Amino acid sequence: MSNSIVDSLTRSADQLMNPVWYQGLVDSPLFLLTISLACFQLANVVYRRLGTFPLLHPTVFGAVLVALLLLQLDIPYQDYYQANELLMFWLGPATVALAVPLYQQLHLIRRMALPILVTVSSGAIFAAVSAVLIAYLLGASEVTMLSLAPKSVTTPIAISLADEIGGLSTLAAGVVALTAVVGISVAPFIFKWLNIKEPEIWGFCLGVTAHGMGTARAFEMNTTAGAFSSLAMCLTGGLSAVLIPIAVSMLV
Amino acid sequence: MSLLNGILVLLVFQCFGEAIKAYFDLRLPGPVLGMFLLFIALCLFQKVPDAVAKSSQTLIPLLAIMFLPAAAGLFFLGAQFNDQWLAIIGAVVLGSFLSLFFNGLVMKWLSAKTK
Repeated sequence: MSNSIVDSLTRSADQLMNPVWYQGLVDSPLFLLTISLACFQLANVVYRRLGTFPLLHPTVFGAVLVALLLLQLDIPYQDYYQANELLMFWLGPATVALAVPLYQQLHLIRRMALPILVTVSSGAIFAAVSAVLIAYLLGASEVTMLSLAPKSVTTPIAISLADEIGGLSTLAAGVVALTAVVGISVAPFIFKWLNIKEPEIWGFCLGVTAHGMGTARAFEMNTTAGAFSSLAMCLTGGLSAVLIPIAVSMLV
Repeated sequence: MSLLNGILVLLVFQCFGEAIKAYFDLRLPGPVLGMFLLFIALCLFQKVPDAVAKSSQTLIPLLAIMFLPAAAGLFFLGAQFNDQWLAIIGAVVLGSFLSLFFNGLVMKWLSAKTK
């Protein structure tokens, strides 16, 4: 008798501790997309309240919040990623849309043609060489170094580049995202230190290093910075796609 | 309606971009090729149609949230870093820091010279 009471008590306690009624909701794209928007907006509020402190940029701080929630709710990242394909789909048309500010800023871009071409060619080479060299000094394996080479290249190009030169495309994708997160977090400090206020230079340098996320960040400054960053992202991606395989075939 | 018309234009250009990528077996992403095509079209047309301007102004400020899932993935990379995490994080953090510094110096110096 007393045993069955204990049993039923344990059972209801179990149900309280491991409630399954909401599992269907938690696994649904609806909930996983809601997480993205909620974390981003929460991060946005914190970011604005604290006077747009660069290390708390919503893409960065929002990602921390998402990661904490996923770990807390025991949701595999893969499920979250798949549910958010719906959100990431819009990266395509948004990228096409960059043609508009690019066209609108054409007069400024023409005037800065020389600084643009020199900065992007030296910057693309510098980004790849510095990453590989630092990794080498820190004792990285060859595969790691090859996956690091396209770190400043926009993700879709970086993945196919890494594959081609013998790196790991999944590692390259992570390295590319990490580069962008570091880039948008520290760029405002570095540019302030170098006394760079011109939106053209601000945006372009951010685009050369931090590709897509850098471009999103540059548009938060103004359209000119955004247009220069878009241009930098395209030129760096295109140039690296040609240069990196050549450099690797000469060295390896 | 003009927002939808604009988005339709963007999607059509993205399709053109993807088609060119597939036909010529290019490494450049379809959306980047689509951007290039739309840019050429705008240069030929000599102005930005209202619908396209509206869709562009709507989507571009939302780029930051579109990158959120990829950024969140950084916290789940552990297994791939293995024993290489120090080299990877060191190279990315220090490398990006140096890159921004280097690019800033080069471009600032050159644009001062060309003025």
